[in-house]
Amino acid sequence: MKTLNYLIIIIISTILASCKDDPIKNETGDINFNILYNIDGENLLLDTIKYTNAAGNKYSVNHFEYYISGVTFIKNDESKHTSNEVCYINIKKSNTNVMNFTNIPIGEYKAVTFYIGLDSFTNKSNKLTNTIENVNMAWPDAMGGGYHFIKLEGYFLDKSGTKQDGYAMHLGTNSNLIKIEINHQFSISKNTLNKKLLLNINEWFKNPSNYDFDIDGNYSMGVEGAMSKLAKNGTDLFKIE
Amino acid sequence: MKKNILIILISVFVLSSCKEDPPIDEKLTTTPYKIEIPEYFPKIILNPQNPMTVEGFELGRKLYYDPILSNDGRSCASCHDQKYSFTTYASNALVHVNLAWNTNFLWNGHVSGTMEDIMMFEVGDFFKTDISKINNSNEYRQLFKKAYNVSQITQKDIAYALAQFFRARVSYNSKFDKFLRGETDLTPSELNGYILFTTEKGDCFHCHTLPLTSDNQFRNIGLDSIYDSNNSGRYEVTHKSFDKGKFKVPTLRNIELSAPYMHDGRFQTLAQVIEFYNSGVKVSSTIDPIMTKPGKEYGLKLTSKEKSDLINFLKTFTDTTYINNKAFSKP
Ligand code: HEC
Ligand code: HEC
Repeated sequence: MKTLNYLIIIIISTILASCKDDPIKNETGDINFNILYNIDGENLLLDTIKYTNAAGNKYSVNHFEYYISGVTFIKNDESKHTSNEVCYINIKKSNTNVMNFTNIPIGEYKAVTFYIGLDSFTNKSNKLTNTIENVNMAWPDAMGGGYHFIKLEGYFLDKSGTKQDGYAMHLGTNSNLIKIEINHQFSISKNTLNKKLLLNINEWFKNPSNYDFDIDGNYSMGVEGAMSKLAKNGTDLFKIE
Repeated sequence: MKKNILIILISVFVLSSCKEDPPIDEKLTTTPYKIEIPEYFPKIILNPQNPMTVEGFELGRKLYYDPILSNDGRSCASCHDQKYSFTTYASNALVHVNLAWNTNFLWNGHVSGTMEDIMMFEVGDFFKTDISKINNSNEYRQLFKKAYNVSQITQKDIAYALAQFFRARVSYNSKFDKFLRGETDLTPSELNGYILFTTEKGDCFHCHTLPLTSDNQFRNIGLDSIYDSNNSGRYEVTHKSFDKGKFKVPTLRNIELSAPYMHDGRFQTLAQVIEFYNSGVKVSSTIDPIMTKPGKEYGLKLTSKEKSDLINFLKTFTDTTYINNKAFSKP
């Protein structure tokens, strides 16, 4: 009799537990990143040719979509917490520009690191959930498979300022994965922490080397030299505020 | 013993509280309709407000073929004929295939949103359907009662039924699909066309993204160099100068059947389309950046064999199962 009762109670409690999210440990908190775009500090206005990069190309941003993954929070004591979420971000879809990370151990942190793109384990054809966005980011098998890490597109004027042309900066393949490391002191508590993640588009085109649409080309997909230049420039795109 | 019953009762209660309450409507007994989708397709967009039912689908199908919707003897099928993947040569209408994944409708995206939204437009703005005619039909009153449990039929009910028929029309049995599923091989020519399509050489995949063959965005591919009131496309909706000459990227599924081509039907054959991409692209300030990569301004420089390989590949999108599917034909 008793055992039966116990059994029933155990069954009930499993059912109860499965109704709720995983029991949240007291010692964790949440962080929200709101991604905002600028050109050397000036708020980005889309679809207008009004920005100048380090090489002197006057250009616009009309399209920008990319992945952020492997987000890792590093504590002052060097212990790490890594999220396994893959975030698809599209500059023109505001809801994708908010990243929310939950269940981060409470404490003092000194840095955040993440990838622009997908690590080699994930960067395989059909590896991500088949959403419309992911399918549109596919990097064809005939070009090695996986996904575009970024698609940054717009228009630019040639140096004489008369002839307009398009540019399409596409980045993919494992060797061009961009690792971002941002040193920033913050503390995770039980209250949600809201942070701004500021992305300076002009950083794609400078540091360590200038990218010039006229010289390096207005199209990068499959052009290894152009892609690796962009990938190296990309490491200092972000700031946290 | 009593205690046991109590515990069992509690557990039943707990169990049922885990699920959401099903929409209880005693009078409405509909049969769920399952849409078959291969796993390599992206997740289909459904509308929880309009769950798929056999009754709703069949009603939408009947309406699609019924001139009662219009005031001039036409039905939707007059311009959207199954034989040609639901278009006709004369109308150059957009084909009806895999529209369930779309959120932008019509060449200039005049309607954005759900399938229900575009159907509201077709019934209300385009056909200006006389709802009283439908309400006066005994048969339709019964069918709408069965599918939606309504006694007074509205434009919304008609649009919802049509939306179900649209959502269910999924094409996934073309030769290309069978190739993706490993059920067949492509010929060497088709395979070479596939490689041209999905590499920088042909560079079709950035807009005609696989497997649906459209990213559902608006783009200017350079058909003209000047865009005025006749061909300004997306600009007609947004009035933003950077949208001049942009049109919805059309699906290429069943493209072999849906001549003539482009929003104005200017090309009669796929060979003409390929020749346009190969050598006819005109540059303007809103041309898509994908169209002007280095070298492309002088054309794709395809050999005649490469051109026919591309065409042969495009023909692998033809799905005869779809155009012969009795479930989609006139009831
Ligand atoms: C007179 C011919 C004609 C009739 C009749 C007709 N259509 Fe169309 N349909 C067209 C044409 C032409 C287009 C493309 C027009 C455009 O985009 O401006 C189109 C486009 C569409 C589209 C958009 C497809 C896409 O890819 O965005 C839908 C949906 C549609 N029609 C549904 C219907 C429905 C539902 C009916 C009946 C209520 C109907 N049509 C009746 C000619 C017709
Ligand atoms: C920059 C985006 C883009 C690229 C790249 C592109 N297309 Fe298109 N395609 C479009 C758009 C947009 C249309 C409709 C244009 C219009 O009617 O104004 C279209 C129309 C077509 C049509 C006619 C469809 C119909 O129903 O009338 C075919 C066929 C086609 N494309 C095949 C191709 C092939 C093959 C390639 C590669 C050689 C290619 N496209 C590259 C965007 C693109």
